[in-house]
Amino acid sequence: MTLQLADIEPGDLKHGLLEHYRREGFDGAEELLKFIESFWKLRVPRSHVCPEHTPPAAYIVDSFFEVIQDSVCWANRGGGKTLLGALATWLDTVFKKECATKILGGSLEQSKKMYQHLTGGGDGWGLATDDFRYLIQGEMLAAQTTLANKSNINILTASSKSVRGPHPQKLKLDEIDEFDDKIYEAAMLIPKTKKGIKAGIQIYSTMHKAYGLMNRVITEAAQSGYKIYKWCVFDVMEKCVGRECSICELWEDCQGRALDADGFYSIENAISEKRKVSRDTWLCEMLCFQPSQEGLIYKEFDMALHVV
Amino acid sequence: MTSSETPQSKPEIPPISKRRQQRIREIQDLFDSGLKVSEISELFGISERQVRRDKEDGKAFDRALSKAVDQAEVLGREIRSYEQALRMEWRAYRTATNPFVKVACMRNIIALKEKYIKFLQGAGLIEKVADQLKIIDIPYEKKPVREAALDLVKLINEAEDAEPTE
Repeated sequence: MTLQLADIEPGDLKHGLLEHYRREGFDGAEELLKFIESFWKLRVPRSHVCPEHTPPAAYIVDSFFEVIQDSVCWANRGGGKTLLGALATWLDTVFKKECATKILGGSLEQSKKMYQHLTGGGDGWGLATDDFRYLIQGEMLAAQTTLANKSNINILTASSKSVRGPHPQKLKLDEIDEFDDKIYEAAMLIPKTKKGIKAGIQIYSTMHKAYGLMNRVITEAAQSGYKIYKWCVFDVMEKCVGRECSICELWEDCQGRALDADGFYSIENAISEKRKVSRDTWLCEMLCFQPSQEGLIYKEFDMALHVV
Repeated sequence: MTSSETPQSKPEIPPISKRRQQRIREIQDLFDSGLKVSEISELFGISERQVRRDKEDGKAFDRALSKAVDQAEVLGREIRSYEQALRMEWRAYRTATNPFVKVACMRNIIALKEKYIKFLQGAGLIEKVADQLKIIDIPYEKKPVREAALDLVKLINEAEDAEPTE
């Protein structure tokens, strides 16, 4: 007897699951993370690699289940901030009815990256896969994407005009070190709690500038009610297997932590980048240590010491 | 009494000599290929009346042969082969350790069941058959079911990525 392969109808299976979760929600963090991994082949790092940092998965879970209202993700370059921001947005939009999100990018390029993570254009991950297309009403535009459940997303570049207008529940600010202070202040008034969805501001940025906006936000986080999610290159690094620690160029900072990692950042890339940049830049941009003092007139200048 | 309970018996072939039986078959073939009675009569050197008589006896001969077919036996043999193939696929599914092989086995099982049901429908043994087997009414409210479905979605997505693009 000749057997023929039949289609299992993967579309039906995914559709059934998706509709179940849209109706009933997720039964806890594990299920949400498993859904993300299955549907988008995206494993959000969960391991607690650096004791003083938070795994990125904790941010996704807290954001989706609204454990926190306002948060700041302070992470390394290439640490997946924009992708996780797009993911948190897409999850809210798909699984929460009438949830509106406005995303402001520090630059046009930054806004474009966020949009591409949703659509899959350019280097974007493509979260709005074919499995979700039936939910999208009309065309998926950066300026306005609306779903059948009346949730919508606006992706704009931060400007005095873009911070005016409607009041969505969720506001996401990407790379705020590039923001103008006044626009940032005006943006704080955008989100409003509506339709049973809590208002929230989520900020994603590295800290490029010694006395920039991100530095201020972090310094005043406790007072402003922001929860800080901080992860460095080791928190998102791929698991280190078969490397000799004693001769590894990352040992100085790693101290064997990458052995417990479960992320996506290539060790080879990290080594190569460490070689190319100064110690200051490495510590600031990749390990999220301290704002870089490069470019200041006096590197040794200390606000506490030298300002009366 | 159903056909499966019919005692085995030899077909009731009309009392015709083997030589004539052979001529009847040949005449039937010639009729099927479009020859006229007169042409066949000329070919065999027999009367046209005899040709017509042979044609009628041929029909009786066919009827006798069809009575010899035990429908239940034929159906039973087919059912047994489907069941055997399904058992083999299930065994392969259970013993497979590679998840891709498991998915392939499951696809085979579904395809096989689909054919099997269509066969049973064609034989009139079951009344209604779906045109296409679909996964419906999955009890997603049960957590282990959801977990298994998510695992399957992950495998499907990985398999889709692994397929070479043209």
